[in-house]
Amino acid sequence: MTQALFSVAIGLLLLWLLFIWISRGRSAGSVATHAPAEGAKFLSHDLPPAELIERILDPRDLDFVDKESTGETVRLFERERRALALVWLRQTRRQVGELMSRHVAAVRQNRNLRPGLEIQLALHYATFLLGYRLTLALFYIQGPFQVRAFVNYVTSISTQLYGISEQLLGTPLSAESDAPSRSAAS
Amino acid sequence: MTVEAAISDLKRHTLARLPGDVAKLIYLAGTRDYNTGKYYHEGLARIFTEKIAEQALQECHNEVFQDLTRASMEELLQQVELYVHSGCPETGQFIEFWDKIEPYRVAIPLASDAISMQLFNSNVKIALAILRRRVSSPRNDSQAALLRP
Repeated sequence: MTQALFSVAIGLLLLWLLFIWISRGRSAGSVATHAPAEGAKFLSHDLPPAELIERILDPRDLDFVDKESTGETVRLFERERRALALVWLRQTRRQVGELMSRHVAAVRQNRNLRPGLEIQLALHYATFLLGYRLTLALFYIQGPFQVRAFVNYVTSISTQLYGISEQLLGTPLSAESDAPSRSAAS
Repeated sequence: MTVEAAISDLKRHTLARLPGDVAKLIYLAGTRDYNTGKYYHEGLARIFTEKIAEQALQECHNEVFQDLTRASMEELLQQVELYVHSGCPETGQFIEFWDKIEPYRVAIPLASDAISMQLFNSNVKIALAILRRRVSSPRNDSQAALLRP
């Protein structure tokens, strides 16, 4: 079973690389060295701040509300936090999806493809998608406060994805994406 | 005459006198025009310029909002209690009004992200529910004393 899954994963990875290689070949006539940076400009959408999800799923808040209020308020609190965490997760998923689309578009026009990093990015993306789906499922089964570790994992993978894409495209995406939160905090 | 100087002035002379972050948030939101969303403070604009005053108010508003959003439920509840205690003689009336009209929703800065806005609104709603419970059945003397007008 594990072997079969591994083979499928390798197959998908190779297909993806083939797709990138073919796409590169098609657009080779119109290669522009500045293209990756232009593509990356669209990535100014920020990932939702990690400290927000930590706050949303802080078990101390649950303990406090549990101690201070009625069962009805506790249920309301849990409902609200679950909804917020879902919004956070979906926004992260959307923005990582956006990152990958832009990355693929930028890579098509990039002469200096770095297969090692591309494979790393693809693997991270696959892991992210798996982690995201698993976290969503556990959210409904166990409740939001019980899956904090999974959410942290998804957060860490999405940050790594941005980092790898930045290395590949050579654009300071993190600095760009940090800008809104810095201005909001100042 | 920089924005930083205006922020420092605003914090020292105006915000420092307000009891807690909720009071600061409401005050700063009150300096914002309901129609245009522009901030205006006559005294600050006179010392600095209208534009610098506007930026200073906006930045302070964002900062206070961020502090409240990042605060734990316990800290937020303390801030709400402090605000109620300092400004409203009738706690029950305050809770009823805030529950129905939800004025805290218009106190949110424009630059805030959607999740922070939702988190803040949700936290205030829960804080009000806890306060309502405390008013109807004070558990101990310290809580009752805090909520007493």
